[in-house]
Amino acid sequence: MTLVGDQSGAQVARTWPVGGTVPAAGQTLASNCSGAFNQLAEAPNGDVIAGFDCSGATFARRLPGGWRPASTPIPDTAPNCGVSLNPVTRSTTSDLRVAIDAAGDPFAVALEAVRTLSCPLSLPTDTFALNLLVGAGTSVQPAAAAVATGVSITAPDVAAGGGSALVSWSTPAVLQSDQHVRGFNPSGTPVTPAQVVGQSATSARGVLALSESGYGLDAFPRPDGSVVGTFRAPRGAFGPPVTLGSAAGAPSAAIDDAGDGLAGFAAGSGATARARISGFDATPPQLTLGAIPARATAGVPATFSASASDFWGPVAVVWNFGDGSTARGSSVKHVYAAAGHLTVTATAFDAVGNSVSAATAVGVGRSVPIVSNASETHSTFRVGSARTAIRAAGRRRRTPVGTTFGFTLNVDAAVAVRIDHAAAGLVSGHRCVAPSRRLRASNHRHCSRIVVDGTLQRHGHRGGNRIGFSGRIGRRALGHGAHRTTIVATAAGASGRSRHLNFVIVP
Amino acid sequence: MSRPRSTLPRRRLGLLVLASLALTLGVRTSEAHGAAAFLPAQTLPGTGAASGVRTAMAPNGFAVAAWVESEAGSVSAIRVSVRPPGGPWSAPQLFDAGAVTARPVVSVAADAAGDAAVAWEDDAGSARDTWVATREVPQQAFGAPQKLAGLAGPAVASTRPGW
Repeated sequence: MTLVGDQSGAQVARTWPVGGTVPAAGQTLASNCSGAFNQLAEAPNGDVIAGFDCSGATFARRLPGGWRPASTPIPDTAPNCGVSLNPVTRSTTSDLRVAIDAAGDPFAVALEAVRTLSCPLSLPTDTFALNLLVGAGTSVQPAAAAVATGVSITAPDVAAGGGSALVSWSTPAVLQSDQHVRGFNPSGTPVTPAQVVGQSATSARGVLALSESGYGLDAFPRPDGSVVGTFRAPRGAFGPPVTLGSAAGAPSAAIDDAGDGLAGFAAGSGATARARISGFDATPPQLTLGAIPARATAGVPATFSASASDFWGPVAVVWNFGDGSTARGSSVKHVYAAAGHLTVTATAFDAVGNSVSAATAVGVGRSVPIVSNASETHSTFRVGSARTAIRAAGRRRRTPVGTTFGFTLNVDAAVAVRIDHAAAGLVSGHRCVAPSRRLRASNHRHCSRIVVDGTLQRHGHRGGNRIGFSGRIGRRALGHGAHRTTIVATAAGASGRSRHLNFVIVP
Repeated sequence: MSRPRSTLPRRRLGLLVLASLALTLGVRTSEAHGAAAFLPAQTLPGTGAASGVRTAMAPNGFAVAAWVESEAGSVSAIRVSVRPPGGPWSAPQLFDAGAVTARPVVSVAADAAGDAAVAWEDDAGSARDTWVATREVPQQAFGAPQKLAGLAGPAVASTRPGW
């Protein structure tokens, strides 16, 4: 870790390893310093640039091997008129900022207040020059041309990342300023046109952040007391500023390599002022598909799960099952109605609408409905007066009227309840047929045949089902005697094994 | 926490083609869409009047925020909170700042390892001193601040340099 500060007019640096203690004594980098504008930026590789006002814009770099001697590439000047009649120009450092990217490319901006005196009379003319300084050997040197010059320039800032820098500054007018931003390469050559990103307050500094990947963030106070933020994608221009809240004083800003950033500011006034952080969400959530069946069965619930997270907060997962159905949640169940090859897509959304989708193919096979747990409330009953289906009326002390068939389905399915009974017949050829007068006369062999009384068609659902039966098919009452019920379920063209029940109709 | 960057529009056609090809082979595919925006501001808890909020963020998103808190018009404390990538802001840690200037110099730094540092100036009495507190992984909290007598205008940085 590194710390610099002013100690009795000298700039002193302390460096200590993580886990160590701050050394009591530091290394003097420069002397004759005002203690103003102390700046420090450190690259992940340990390269450092420090900036101070030490009789001018002074910079020191720490490179492998330690600190290099500080230099003052833009010294203050204060010439007197003396006997000359030519104007003289006095220059003083009025602000500076430093930045460094991950590769160790140093950047700095130094704002010089330039006062021109007409000699011998002092009729000063004040202007400003905002200079960009870029790496040169073990120090920094001013770029070929100033970033901006004018009668009013304030609050510069610089941010570095990915071999380039962004510079911001304000040009105050009567009530407000223009907030400018421009990009430069390590040689100090402009790589983007100067952009006015918004109107800023005259009294507080805007702050820049630039990631190694090129994402940029600029936060600055507005004349109306609000703080705004604006963002740019790599190599892009800054978008319209967004109000983040009311704030007193300058905000701060930071951004990471993925483009997620933040702006910090104090909101409110007096004792109620609180620290507030507005995150900038540039990245979609992360989404990992979990349990996704490669094959599903129509009519049978399938479970789909995914895990999702986001840098900033909650994530909503929306499923599209490929058959027109959707669902929300990290773990959901879905029942396909028909067989086919479908694409299941899970999409995770974060709070601002960034999204990521993952898709996979699912083969849906035909379902075979299975009837189980077949039962009837009464196996002996009288025929009721109602048509076909009735509510079971079997709680009388006497023989009940009607019955209720119960059964369980594994899937939603069409259910056919066929009722038949055995009857005497005569063999004709290889068939057992109803005994006709001709067959009786021909002395054919007796046999037993199945006579279908009728079939009830119902829609069964997955789980338990009940079908009331009065003993009538339509209006026709079943005859007295033994009958058999056959329950068959069909789904997506496939029928499963049938189940049988027996009952007796009594007078 | 490694995060995908926002997807650029020109990549989408290529991704869709790849997705279609992959789906025919039964392979899982993914695609991201960006809608980058600022989130509603979150208030970090405190008891006094906050000012001078400073933030720093490491390349991997590890963040630190520090600010000055004043009670009854007198600056009395420095608060600092950290946020691991994808996590919540920690409960702000409080340092008794003694008596610092009305517009104190506060500097914060963070690195990708999760180390962080906060430094501030204390101009109580005639001397101007600097205090620095660090959070060094695997610590979860900042340690007790150390005093650097006679040092003013601190600026702090945090890295685990490779050299």
